[in-house]
Amino acid sequence: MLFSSYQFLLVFLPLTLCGFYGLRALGRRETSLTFLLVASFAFYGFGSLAHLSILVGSIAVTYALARVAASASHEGVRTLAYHAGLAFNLSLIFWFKYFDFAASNAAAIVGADYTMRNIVLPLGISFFTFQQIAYLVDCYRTGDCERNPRDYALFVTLYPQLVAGPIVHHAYTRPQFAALARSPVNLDMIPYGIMIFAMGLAKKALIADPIARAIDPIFATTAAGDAIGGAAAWAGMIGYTLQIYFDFSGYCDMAIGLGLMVGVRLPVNFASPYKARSIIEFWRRWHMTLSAFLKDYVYVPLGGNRRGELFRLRNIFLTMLIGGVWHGAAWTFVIWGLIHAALITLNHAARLWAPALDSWRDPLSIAAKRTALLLAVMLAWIFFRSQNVPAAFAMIGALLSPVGAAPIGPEIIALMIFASALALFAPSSLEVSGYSDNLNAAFPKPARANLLRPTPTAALATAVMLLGGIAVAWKPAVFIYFNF
Amino acid sequence: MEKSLSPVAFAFAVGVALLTLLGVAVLLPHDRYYRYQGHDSGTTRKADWIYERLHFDPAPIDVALIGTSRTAGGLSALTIERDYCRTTGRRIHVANLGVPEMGRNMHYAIAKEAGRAKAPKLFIIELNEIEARRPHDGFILVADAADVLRAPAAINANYAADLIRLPGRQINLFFETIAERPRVRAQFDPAEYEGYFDRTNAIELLDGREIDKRVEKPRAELDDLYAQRLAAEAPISAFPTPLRPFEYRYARKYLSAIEEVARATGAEIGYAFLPAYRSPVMPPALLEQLDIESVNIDLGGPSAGDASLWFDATHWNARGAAIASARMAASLAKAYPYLGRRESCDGELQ
Repeated sequence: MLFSSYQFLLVFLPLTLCGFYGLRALGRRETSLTFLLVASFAFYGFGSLAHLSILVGSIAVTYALARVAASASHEGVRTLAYHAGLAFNLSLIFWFKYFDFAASNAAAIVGADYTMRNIVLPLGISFFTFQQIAYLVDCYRTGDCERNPRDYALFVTLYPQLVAGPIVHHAYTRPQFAALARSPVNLDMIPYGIMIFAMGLAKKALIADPIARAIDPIFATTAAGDAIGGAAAWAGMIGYTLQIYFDFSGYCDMAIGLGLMVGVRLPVNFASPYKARSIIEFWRRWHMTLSAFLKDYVYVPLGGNRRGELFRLRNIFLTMLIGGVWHGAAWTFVIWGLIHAALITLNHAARLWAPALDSWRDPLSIAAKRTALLLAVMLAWIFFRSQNVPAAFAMIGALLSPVGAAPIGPEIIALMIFASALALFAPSSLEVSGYSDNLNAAFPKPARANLLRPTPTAALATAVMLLGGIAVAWKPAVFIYFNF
Repeated sequence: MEKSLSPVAFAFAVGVALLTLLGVAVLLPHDRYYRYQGHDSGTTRKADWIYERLHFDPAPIDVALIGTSRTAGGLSALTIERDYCRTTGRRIHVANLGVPEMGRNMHYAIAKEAGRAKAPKLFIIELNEIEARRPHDGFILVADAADVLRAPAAINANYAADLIRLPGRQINLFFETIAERPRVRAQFDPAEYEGYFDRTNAIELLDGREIDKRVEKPRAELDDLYAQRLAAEAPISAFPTPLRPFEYRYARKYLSAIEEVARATGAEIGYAFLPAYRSPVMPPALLEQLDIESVNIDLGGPSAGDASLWFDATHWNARGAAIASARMAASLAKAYPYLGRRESCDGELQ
């Protein structure tokens, strides 16, 4: 179910909130959490009952193996359960996401025929699998794991973050679920949840989706092997740069907003990445929980910085490459990952061996750095979006070709200018709402003039944004990150 | 600094404001031609042609054929006009307004638009050996907002979905109308207009491929399809006895709404049985459930078992369609010999 679909907005969400708060009003706090779990399963199962069974099976197996990995008295049994859990989760994601890609390429290398199985990817498998791998590793390392199967299942499936993140650590949700089981929800969070959700919905429905509809034909043209003009190539590249920004940013806002509506804070996953001055900073702002996961569970196990600078750079490169392939099983994602891996490795190398570059802080240097970074990121997005590698190269080649016919209308150009201004200069929705994912920090913050507050004007603006979302939701478009 | 609302007051204020805005959205006006272009599936792809036939084609409509893909792909309006003229010496204009998939709400929406635009003299409503218990999924795309709101809520699997999609549809159509940017074309273009929209010899798929219907399928293949169809079909009366009055209430409601449209425009209504492969007879039990006294045009009979006339388990091939169209013309000539006006059958009908 899409957050921007009418089924979600007008049926699932109101019913879930009514059920959750209704049970809490009756003093049934534990039951309200069970209800959230059932609602999360319904949310997932709405798309495919078969995939729901995969999710449930994956939760059951990982939960059981993690218990053994955390608490078995025999070290050998713990290690065996840990490795079995890792193998199970990695096999699951490999089968559904990478088998066809790997097998078809292997067959091509040896000159054999391979019929694609066209395995349908369960929604969010990359997210719930990574989340469970992190949990398994933590259980094994610390010897501490979740005893309550409901709370474990809720940690994996809580509908705001189930299908496209953020990737949440168990240690982050555990105290929150415990608090929900014993104390009332902080109702002050709810207006902020509604406002942040509405902002996310507006980003998705009113900015990302219209841009997507305008530029999809450009990418379809290159995918079909037909030529495009320079104007179309630039429009496609800039348009997709904005589309994926507002799509993912909108999704992250909606996830946080939905969490707040049930009294759960989720980690910040997106923090104005196009304002970054370097690729290192970009990845501290874009899909932050994936970056953190890759650092903790890939980079560090690879050796981190323990064997000198060259090995550190190698490990950074490999980690980013794995991050690229995580996004999809196609050569376009491999190349996208390679570009980012090369850029971030170069950035780290430059900091190491040419630190003076980092100290250029005058406005002109900063503008130059941001421009260079944006151009590199935009070129890489072409691979991310294109149907195949030749189509991506065709679009890159077309960037330097004659202008050609106008590919998009003036209203889309105006929207893209507005969206660019928002992405490059405006404070983020989480900044204006004063959101903090630090569970020790107060939220909502005390009223301040520069922060969004639940006033009558804000209520009207929220209703208008929700209306915009509902207007588009009658034929919604899928979130890009739902595909991973 | 503006005063903050309490959490409950804020949620309430957002809810009230949103409901008000949704209500206003439903009232937004738009161009109905744009609405008929809102099709996003194969089932309603023909809707823009239907609107053009009703509103832009200067030819009147004497006979409006209302039905499913069996009508859309199985009856040739031109053949019916020609054969009717040859039999009666009268020139009539027939419009094949069939839309794929069964759903009486869609038939009502189309009949209403036809009544409003061309006031046909006769509506021919398709009947099949089975009747849908579900409404047509394309209703929300073409129906008037008032009809979506007034649709029966009970035993209507689409009611909630249609209702909550309505404001979005209205807002989108409003802005499309203001910007003059519909899905297909802002102005009627005679060069693009498909005339009779005859799909008896070939059909065009969504991806643009054309499927030739001038083929004969092996009997074994058709028998296989027939067996699959039977296995998937529910019995005519599937509901337990106490609930039986509700079983086809939805279909009855819209069939009587079509009768009201006909009454309002002074039109007659005829019911035509269009069979499926190996289902030669309109089941009397179903007629009774639908409150229809009799079928006055029966295109079933032994030919329903003739494998050489079928494209698949429910649709005629080109030869089957030619025979069915001729039989439809003969039935019309017999039951309604006074339609149209006396005129030569030469010219465009040749």
